[in-house]
Amino acid sequence: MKPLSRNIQPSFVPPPVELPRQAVRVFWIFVLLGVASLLAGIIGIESRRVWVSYLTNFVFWSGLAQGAVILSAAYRLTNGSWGDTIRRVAEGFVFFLPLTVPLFLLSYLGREYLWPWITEPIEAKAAWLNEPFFFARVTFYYLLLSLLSLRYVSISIRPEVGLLREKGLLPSSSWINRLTKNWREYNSELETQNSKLTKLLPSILVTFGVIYTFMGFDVVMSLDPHWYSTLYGWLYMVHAFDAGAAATIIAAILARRYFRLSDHVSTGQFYDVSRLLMGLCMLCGGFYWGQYLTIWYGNLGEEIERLILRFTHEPWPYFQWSVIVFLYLFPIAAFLSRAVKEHMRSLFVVASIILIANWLYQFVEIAPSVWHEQRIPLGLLELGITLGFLGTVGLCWLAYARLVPLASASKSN
Amino acid sequence: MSFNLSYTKTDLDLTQTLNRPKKWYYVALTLLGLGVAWGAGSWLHQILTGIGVAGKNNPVGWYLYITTFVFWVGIAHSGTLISAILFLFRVKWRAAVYRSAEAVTVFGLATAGLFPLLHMGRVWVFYWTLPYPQMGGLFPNFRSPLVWDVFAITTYLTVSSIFFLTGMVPDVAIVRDKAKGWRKKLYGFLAQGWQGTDQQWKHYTQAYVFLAALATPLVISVHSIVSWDFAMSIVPGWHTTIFAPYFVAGAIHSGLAMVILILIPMRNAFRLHEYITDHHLESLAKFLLFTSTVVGFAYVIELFIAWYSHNPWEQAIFLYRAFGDYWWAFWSLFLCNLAIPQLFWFKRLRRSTLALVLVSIAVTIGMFFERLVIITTSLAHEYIPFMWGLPDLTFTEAGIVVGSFSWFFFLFLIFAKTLPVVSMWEVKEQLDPPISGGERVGGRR
Amino acid sequence: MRKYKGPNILAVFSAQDLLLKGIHELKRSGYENFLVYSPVPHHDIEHALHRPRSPVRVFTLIGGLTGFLTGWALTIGSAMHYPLIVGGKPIISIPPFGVLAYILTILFGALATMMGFLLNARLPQLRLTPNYDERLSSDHYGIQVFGDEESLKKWARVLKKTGAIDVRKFAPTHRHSVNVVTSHVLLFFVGVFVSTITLASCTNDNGEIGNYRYRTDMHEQPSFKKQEDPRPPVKGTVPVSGYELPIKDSLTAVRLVNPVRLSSRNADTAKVLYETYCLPCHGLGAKGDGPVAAKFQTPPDLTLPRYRRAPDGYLYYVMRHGHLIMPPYYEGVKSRERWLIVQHLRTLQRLQ
Repeated sequence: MKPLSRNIQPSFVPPPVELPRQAVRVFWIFVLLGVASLLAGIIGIESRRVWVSYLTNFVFWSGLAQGAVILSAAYRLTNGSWGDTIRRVAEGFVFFLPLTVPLFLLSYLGREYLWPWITEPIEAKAAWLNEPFFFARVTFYYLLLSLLSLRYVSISIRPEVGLLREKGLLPSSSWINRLTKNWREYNSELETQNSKLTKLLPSILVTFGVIYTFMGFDVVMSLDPHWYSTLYGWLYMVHAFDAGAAATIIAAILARRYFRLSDHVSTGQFYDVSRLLMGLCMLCGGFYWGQYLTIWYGNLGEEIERLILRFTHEPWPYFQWSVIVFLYLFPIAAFLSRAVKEHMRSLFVVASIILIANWLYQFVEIAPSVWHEQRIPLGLLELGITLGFLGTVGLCWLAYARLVPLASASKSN
Repeated sequence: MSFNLSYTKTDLDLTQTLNRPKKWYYVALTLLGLGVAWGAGSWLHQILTGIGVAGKNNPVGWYLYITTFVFWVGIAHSGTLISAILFLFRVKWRAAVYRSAEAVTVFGLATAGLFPLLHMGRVWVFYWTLPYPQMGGLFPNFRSPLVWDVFAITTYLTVSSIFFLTGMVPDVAIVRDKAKGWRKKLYGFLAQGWQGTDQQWKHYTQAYVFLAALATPLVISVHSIVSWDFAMSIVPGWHTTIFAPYFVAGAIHSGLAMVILILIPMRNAFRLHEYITDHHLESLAKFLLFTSTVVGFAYVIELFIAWYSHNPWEQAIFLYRAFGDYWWAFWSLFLCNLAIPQLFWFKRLRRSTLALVLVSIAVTIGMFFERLVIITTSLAHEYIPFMWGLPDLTFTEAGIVVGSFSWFFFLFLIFAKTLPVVSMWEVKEQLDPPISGGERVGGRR
Repeated sequence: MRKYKGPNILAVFSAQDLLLKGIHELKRSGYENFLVYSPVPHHDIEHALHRPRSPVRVFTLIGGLTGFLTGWALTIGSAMHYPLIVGGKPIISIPPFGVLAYILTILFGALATMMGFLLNARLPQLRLTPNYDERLSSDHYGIQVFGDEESLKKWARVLKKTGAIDVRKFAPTHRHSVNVVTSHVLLFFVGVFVSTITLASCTNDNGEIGNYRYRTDMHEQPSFKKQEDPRPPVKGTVPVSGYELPIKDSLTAVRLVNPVRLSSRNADTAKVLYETYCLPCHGLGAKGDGPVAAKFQTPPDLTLPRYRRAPDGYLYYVMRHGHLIMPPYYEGVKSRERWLIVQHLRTLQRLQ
């Protein structure tokens, strides 16, 4: 976290005065669709389907937003300097995080469809798996992480936002005023930021690691209350991180195009973040492989059950294999080429495929445990819920992009 | 790196390490040689008499040998981490320390590689582990994790030696160009005719990137495979999915400690304070703190899941570890691996050489105990009480363990005086190149 | 004209900016037949030279793919060649074979990368370039221009003007022969290889080279055939740990005296021993109601008067040699432990 060279004030591209109206409109329609589908579930139309899809999407999108913020924190902790635009784009997902608390509490309504130990308590595990403790601690997980993330991002973007405000290039909003309270001067702000971050960065990363591990155990693994795997928590954590990186790439490509930043953001940043994404996909694959191989080899009844269900019982093998092919293998092949990492269109396609495969991962981890019918729980209702989450996350990100400069103005301009 | 370095000074300072050694060097070499001789003698005794003299018996057939094997493979891991992974992440402080770390890797593997042989009842048919059609066209059983191990360790030794020697070529060329007589011939051979033309550099840098890119997934897989030697079984305490990443983290943890333990005396002996600065050591300490946290967290997850699973065997083995015959090793590994490195949250301790050495020693001991506890307790208390039992430590086995430590440091001492211990060309790469118009030197790029 | 071969000059520079100037001079006139020597790779030099990308990556890719395929071919091929089910796993076990394919991908990839580097960089070289300057590896730079006599003269002048401190002509008499050792080492390896092959071709299937038997396979021992009992130990052989002689008969046994007394210290041990070895059949209170007995055959209630009256030696004898369907316990339970169990039985009987 070395300060940039002293007494030089960088200049930033101000955020767009007006957001692309169509995007906002489409996102709002998505949100309404999501709410409608959810309401259908609550009043009793296909409730189980709705709640399975709700949990899948909740887990996926909250992990994605948190993973993106953690990407930014990890970038800062390792003194990264390869992509500040990527970092700011990643931080943009932070606005979704406070929403995770009410969104999780909403799943209380569908608890009886989701976690089997709520309707049929397991006596031996009651100390950990009981309703009040479960909801209290998972709510606490989301609350703590969203507070920490908000604090981190507000420290992280303060110098940039403050500098733009000083120059009068930002719309006035109460949020910006609060963020830049007691603003001094860019370089001294950078120093304050440094000293604040030295403490905050390790603690946010450690908190993320611990909480996401236990979140994996609690929210997803306990859907199969008798099954357990020590690696499951870390598996959950790295997949969230992976989704965050993929989503960041997609958002950055879109921002570069629609906010007209092509002159300011070089493709080198995308090259580096793609390498990171490839590494994360390999890590996810490696972890999955480690878990699979141990269970396959041991062949113990209580463990192998879960794999048999997902690898041999229709229709799950299609989804399971799509995850393995598109999330773990395809990125290695696709990212071998340098051109793919530097051409926006191909990178967009590859990152989208990875992101969809990551969604499928959560789906195939959650649905088979809860859904016991023959037909596939994928249809209009699920689409509605997925779009609802997409719309919410999209709106949150746009709200951030309106306030914060994403790119440094390049010298040629 | 210090600010007043130049290309010329770097070369002078760093080739100085190859000067005629002092007396203490020969003393240390002799002592270590004696240790090696003790180990070799013990091995000879074991070969001539039989594996029984090493106390190998049921139920704990895997005891100190496998513990030491896993320990040395673990030590080997930090070298590739520092040289390959940090290279890919373009971490600057790696340049000054990676050569020694890589040497730790190569020599760690050269030590670990002996243990499968040491553990063989009939070592003269060691070639049965190789993949060739044996009796009636039968190959080794490729489903067995032990065969994966042979492949993984051999590959790791090959790739890390290639990486080590390739990284050294430009440096050896520098030594060659400064040397005279037979040394010129020796280094001339090692440099393989390197001249530093742009063509050579072009292929060299690309090959180096790709070797790093290959070594990274390799280093992760090697200790995963070592962990699978255990996890593929259904022995309580071994059969657990987290083993692969947990072993990798533990390996890097112990390896970093060993790198610190080697760098600090070397820095003092060769007066390399300008190259291996406190900042570098602090970065290593931060890394050690990180791995300590990951490893410690893995311990906690294992305990938590043993409790959560409600599996009586899992619970029994963890209770046995904590309160059974090896309680002292269990609690000291928690202390040494998890608690003591947490001291590095304090900047003052990260920058204190003494604290670094002490914590690294603690970690080295702790990681040895960790493997001892994992390997021994699970075998000593498997499912059937009828088969419970404890191993005996024999003189032969102890001799071989001591011999392995001596062997490692013996190799390292020879390395320190024959090859450049800090990569000159990569240190120079981070300095400003010499430019015309006077003696303006140095500074970071 | 062959590239980088033939008559040449070497201009030595002491500073990088001067070197770059020299490169620009050559590049400006479109002259490409020259090499640049530098102690470290530098972005500016690469940029100025603008040479095509190194093809080493192709070697890596091809090597990696070859290794990947070799891995699968080796594992699947050998499994099909000798189908043998081991550990209840399928003949073609994809998950474990994948581990080997992965490892071999990396091994072959790394070896191919190394080869790609050596081939492309023309290494190892037996001799250094004749006019190589020893400062070049440390802190000086060089431009080596190849060409005919006339253009060399011209470039010598130009480079001198851009700031070369020294321009050397190709001098055929001046030769470094630093690297002759290489050929000796190569010869050594060739020798090893040839002798290995020779030795291997002399061996036969019985593991013999001529009359010398180097292999000792267990199944080729001269002694015993399949399904035969192992060779009995020599008469009078005793294990080093000592050997517990069998008790002649129950009459001898009843005269034995229990050497252990129950104390507060060993009472727990006795209890644990009993509960480990005896409880499954005899039950917690020795009433013959153990969990195994319920599904198998019920042993007698040991708290009955006739077992109370039975001497210690008799109970010990039953444990030592077994009785009816009760198996002998002399291997798993040591003598002293058996006596302890007897004492525990007495405690249980007293509690009755």
